[in-house]
Amino acid sequence: MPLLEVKDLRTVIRTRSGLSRPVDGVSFCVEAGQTLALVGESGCGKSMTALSLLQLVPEPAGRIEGGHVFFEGRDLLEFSWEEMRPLRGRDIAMIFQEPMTSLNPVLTVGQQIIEAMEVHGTARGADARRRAVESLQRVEVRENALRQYPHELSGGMRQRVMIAMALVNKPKLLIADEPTTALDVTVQAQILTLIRELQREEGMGVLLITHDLGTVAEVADHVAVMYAGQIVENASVQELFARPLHPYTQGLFASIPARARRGYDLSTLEGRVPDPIDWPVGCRFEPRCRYRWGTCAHRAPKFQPADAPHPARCHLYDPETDRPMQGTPRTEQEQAREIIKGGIAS
Amino acid sequence: MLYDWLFNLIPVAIVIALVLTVRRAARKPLWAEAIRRLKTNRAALVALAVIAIYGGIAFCDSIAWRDDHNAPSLSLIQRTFGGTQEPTYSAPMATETFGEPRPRPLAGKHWLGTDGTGQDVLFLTLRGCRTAMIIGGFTLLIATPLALIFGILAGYHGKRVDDAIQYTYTVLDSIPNILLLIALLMVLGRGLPQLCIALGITSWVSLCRLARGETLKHREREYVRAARALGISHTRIMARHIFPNLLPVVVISTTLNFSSLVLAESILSYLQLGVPPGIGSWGNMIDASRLELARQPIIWWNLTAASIALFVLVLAFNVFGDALRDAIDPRLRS
Repeated sequence: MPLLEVKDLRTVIRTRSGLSRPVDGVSFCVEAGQTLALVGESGCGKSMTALSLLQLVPEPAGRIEGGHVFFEGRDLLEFSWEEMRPLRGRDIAMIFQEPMTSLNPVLTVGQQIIEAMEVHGTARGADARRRAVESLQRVEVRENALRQYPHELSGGMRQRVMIAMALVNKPKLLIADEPTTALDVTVQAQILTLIRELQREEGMGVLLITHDLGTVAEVADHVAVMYAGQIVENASVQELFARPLHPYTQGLFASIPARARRGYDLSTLEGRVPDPIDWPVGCRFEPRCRYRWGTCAHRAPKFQPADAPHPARCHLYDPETDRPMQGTPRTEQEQAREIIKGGIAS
Repeated sequence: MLYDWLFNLIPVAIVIALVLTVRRAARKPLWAEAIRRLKTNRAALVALAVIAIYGGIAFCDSIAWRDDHNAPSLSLIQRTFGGTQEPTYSAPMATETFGEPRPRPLAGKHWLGTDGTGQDVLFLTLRGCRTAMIIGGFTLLIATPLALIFGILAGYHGKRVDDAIQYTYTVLDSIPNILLLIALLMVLGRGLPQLCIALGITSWVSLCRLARGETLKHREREYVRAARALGISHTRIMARHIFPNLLPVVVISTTLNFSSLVLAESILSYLQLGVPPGIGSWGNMIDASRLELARQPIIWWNLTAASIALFVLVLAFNVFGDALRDAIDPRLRS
């Protein structure tokens, strides 16, 4: 049984201009001790997926419309707010994108870490203090930070504090929503190494949300590529980097600067993610896809077509469609392979 | 004797609590920064000194004891400035009574003269300090928690809770304050505590609105979401995470409110709805002297003394409140 199994999760947000569907039928699994990276560009619903898992979708506009989130076999979506509360922060912890604003500016770091333990009754008093110091040491923050306020710490330090706070109750699952996006590159590497080490020690599952394939290569075991509210490709990290199937995934790889392509223009994915208020009826990537043909615009592709070695939501791998060619052209795959050989520039 | 002793403990406790709160707050980054900025603002320091003097007088007037079992309990101010009782009016620094066909010599010296009943005006003015401080302080003690609880609840929960609280205070706010006050005082009766309650009920709305707005803003902040993700309950988020973030706004608003409450007391006393005549208050002094303005020659000193005392305190609180706002939130400075 996987630690976390998400099935057909759908979250909607009421907006002035209509019903927005940022998460529209997302399914994936996270095994204990493994890292699943959820990859995609901004606005494709990654963060909303993470918030939906903990039922923290901004109310009252947002609502989880359907699906299942099985955590250790129990469906979290059937839990009420009060039933969810003991799980949050104890069994499932979350790290947010913005270390600058995710800590309360008027409470000291110590107060906030200790509170994380006290609300769950895992430790209190001197014991809680000792554990707070330990968890800070583990993330390599000096002990006197306990008495400091968030504004007295640097961004990297604050993110470490956030991680210390998330891990202090030894959660079984860590959801890290772009934990390194707001940090500079040297600190990014440290934080990622730290998460990986802690994961190895504690054997927790990690759901890493990112848009950075360099990060993915470094820490993930499995990758789920998300586009327009859906998972478009799901594979182990080796397989995905060796054989990206979906044109979107290939586009992502092609837009990474690589040593092998020095001197050439960097390819970009034209256009942007469609509006979640009205997703395209057919393939959601169709407006931006280089290989699109007639069928793509009005027929939604299957998640795992017959010809695809791993799930890839694309008609190119579906023998039942009138595809003009089978699989994507070699050049594109060659390009992707070059990048992997050249190493991810990160 | 024990009763006197316990009674004197109350003002001492209030002063100690104030000092401790300020000293504790000075360690917090936001307040330390605000205090640093305040120290460079001369007007604010003068205003603070003026407030401290008024507070000191009120404190001295609250320390009282009796000399023997049957004697009345007298405060420090009463013992020092009580002075001698004169038959009737006398001008400041005068040696004989005023306005009588045949002036009589005075028993003592009166810096600000005496009023119609022969009481020393300086003494009455000083006694007004305590009343003003009690009106301001106790009313805020009633209004602030009320405003904060409802404001934070409305802002945090939104939806029906917000609607209900908003309707309540909008309805309350739509009644002219002075009419509501008169009605409340009719029901509650006259007296210092009754006045504090009535003023409390009419003055919480603005702070409540402010607290609601601020809570709405903070509710969407990342740290509140992070707190939820840690499994912290709604009540605890409101009390421990949002409330401390509202404190700057609350402190500014209460400082500025204080002066309007002192003013409101005077207006009500002038309308004979304020504190009972036995308790010295500037409003009562102004009320008592209003007929004297029609006399020829005018008796101006008791009106002037009360008005200046009131004016200086209100001005000091406003100047300090503004300076505090500038110190806490530099963005408002322009």
